[in-house]
Amino acid sequence: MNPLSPLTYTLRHKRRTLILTAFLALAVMGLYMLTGLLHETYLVPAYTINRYLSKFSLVQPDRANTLDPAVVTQIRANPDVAQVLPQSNVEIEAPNVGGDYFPFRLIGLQEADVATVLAQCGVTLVEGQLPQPRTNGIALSQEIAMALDLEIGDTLERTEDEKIYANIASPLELVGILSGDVRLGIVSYEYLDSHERYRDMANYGVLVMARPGRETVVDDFLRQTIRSSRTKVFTHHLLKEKVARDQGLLYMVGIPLVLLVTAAITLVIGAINRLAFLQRLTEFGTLHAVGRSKKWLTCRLTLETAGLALAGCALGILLAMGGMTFLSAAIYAPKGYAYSPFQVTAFPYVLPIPLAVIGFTLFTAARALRRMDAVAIVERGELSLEGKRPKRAGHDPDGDLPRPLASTTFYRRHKGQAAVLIGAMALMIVGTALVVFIFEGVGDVMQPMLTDLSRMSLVSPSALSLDAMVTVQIRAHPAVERAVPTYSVSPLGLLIPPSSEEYRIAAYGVKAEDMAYLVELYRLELAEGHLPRPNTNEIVIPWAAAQNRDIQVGDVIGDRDHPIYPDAPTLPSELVVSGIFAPAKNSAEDTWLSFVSQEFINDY
Amino acid sequence: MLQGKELTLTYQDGETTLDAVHDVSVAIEDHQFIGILGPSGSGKSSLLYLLSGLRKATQGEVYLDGRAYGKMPDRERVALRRSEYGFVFQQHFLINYLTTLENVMVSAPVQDKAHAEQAKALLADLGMGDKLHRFPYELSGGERQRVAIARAMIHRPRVIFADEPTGLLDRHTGLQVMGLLRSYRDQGSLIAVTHNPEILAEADFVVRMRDGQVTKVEDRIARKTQEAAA
Repeated sequence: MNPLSPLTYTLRHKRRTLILTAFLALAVMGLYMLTGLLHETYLVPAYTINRYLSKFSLVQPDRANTLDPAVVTQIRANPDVAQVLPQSNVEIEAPNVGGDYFPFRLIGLQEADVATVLAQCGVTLVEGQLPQPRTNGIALSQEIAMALDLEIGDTLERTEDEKIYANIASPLELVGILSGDVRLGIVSYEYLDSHERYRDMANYGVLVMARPGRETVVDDFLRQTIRSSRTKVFTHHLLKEKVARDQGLLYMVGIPLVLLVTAAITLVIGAINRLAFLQRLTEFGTLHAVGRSKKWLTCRLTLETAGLALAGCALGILLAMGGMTFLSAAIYAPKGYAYSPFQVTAFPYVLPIPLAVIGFTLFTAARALRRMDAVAIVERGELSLEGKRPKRAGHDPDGDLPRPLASTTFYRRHKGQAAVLIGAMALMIVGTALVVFIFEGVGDVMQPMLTDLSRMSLVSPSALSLDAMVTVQIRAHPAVERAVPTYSVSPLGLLIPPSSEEYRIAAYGVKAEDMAYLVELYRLELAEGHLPRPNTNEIVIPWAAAQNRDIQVGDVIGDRDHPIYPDAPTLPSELVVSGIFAPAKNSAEDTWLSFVSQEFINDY
Repeated sequence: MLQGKELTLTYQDGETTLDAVHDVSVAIEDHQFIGILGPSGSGKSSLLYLLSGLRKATQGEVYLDGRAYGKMPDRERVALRRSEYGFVFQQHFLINYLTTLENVMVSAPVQDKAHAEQAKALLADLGMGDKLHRFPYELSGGERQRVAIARAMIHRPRVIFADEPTGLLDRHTGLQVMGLLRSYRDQGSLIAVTHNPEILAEADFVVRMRDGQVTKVEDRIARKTQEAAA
């Protein structure tokens, strides 16, 4: 074996090599799997289940039941548009492996258009049949069926799962399984249109297919020309924008985490290398004395660490890929979310670890070896005689009593080393806890959303208005103190970092006496202004919304031309902030309640 | 030829300065054995470090074949030590995770089979032929020092610098080690620093030092020539 090879030291110190390699491998594996699984759990499905938007776009009316015919005519007139098909759709919530849900559209198509859409998406029927016109049949991509745990003959109905099937007004029966890269859920347009309850709640509009090669142009046209306050469009570009925003969130959480973990690992390995360096001082001194330059020594030390770091990184990636393959087969594939263990997204997160370790070693080795004095090592066993000052033991709390055997003596006399190890451990703990802290924080901030329902319950129709009999039945219940008729609107949304999603708050349109009752019930106090007066466009908002969006009494909400904040929702009629509720004295009782005059809302 | 002219090495200790070597001049011809003798703190090791280029002189200059150390860049002086000089220290300073043979190969100019064979032959000559694959902690003090000597000789240096090479050995082993070092005179020069005059019995010159200065130079070649003539 070449005694001057960087491998020699590594191979002759197998236990140390094993520990360092395992340490690095575990860190890399952890980060790779964390990133990969977050990506595959929250980002990829959000894109995958809506990938049909890469084949066609959807145009729907906003706050109306039917699309303006002029808009349809305008779309048809575009020479880059190949086909415009009528569609209506209802959304279900497709669950992912992480317990989250992604909206998934069940698209109602006319019988004649089904084949066109399947061909456009490269999707084929692999089991059962396509939905027949005017029947409640549904054909689903097999991955969606797996996610929903459905087989042919099963029904999708609200009573099965209030969250997933909240919009399924009447049961649908799974009659066909589809296969292809694009996930689809197809129902009969005629059925949705003929069914009284679906007719009220389905999103009617058109499905737009571009001519081959003109997809981007049509996407731009729909977003820039067709999209308006009355018309919503859903395109591939918008989908990618949303996924990019979510990816940004992942980076926002991930990058500090990676930096902390990398710093911690680098410090720990640096501390271990430092100890090894001190143990090998005479080796370096001798090698320098017999004619090996400091540059050569630095290079060799760095190569030794580089070998370890790269081996640890490679091992970590292999282990992570093994772990992810197992998880994909055992958990994700049965739910329709199988993935490749080769996660390109994870590499930027894990590669900084070996690079930082190598860089840190290079820096510290070069720094220490620059000071190295071969004679000082040979004569005294010390790195250098330069700047050598007599050490002071420091203040001893026990006075003059020497404590050579105390557990703290070593680290009190080696403060740098103690600081590095404590720092590394602190960074590791912060790195691990950071994600939890961030999401816990978001959870805490959203607590008022739950408090809103702590003293009342909401019953809302799946159609436009609540069945009168239901209201009577609720009022008749002996435990019900009061039933308050209300309309709700969402005039504002709160932005809670690090999420890029807007959390909409609901403003309840209630009569003056009911408003007073609710204010009393929730012990709400006004910080500023007054409650909305009957028949006025006034609104009272929670303190959190005012703070979050910098809203003052007198500000106008819902104005299309002058939004209260960028991308604020527009309203059929503007609302003026007449009051702001004060924050609750006890933060656990804080609410996001907001009220407007029911009489005013009624007029719209 | 290695020559030190008017060498001074000053150490700074706080506000006080100390001349470890003061105005010393020496000249070493090829194949000579020079002994530097003196008590602890006399500056003999410092003189050795100056002559070998491990320390830079505060004043004066060292020349090897007329080339001044002071005019050489660090890189060149390091290369000079690797190619022209060999070192034996009071402690063996063997690398503890390398075998006997590998420790010798550390100083080989090229890591190839020919040099490995040469190292084996050298170790066999030094009586270590059966311990090529032992680690330093498996050897006795004398054996370790023999390995260190082989390491100093493997690249056939022009000068071997030995700093108290027998300092940690018993008398018998020490004399054996000095015998091995003396045998190198056929190939190059030997400069040995010691406080024990016994091991310099066969030196060509003995430079006696005290307080950083040369107090006496014994020219034993001239004396032997005079004795022979008489």
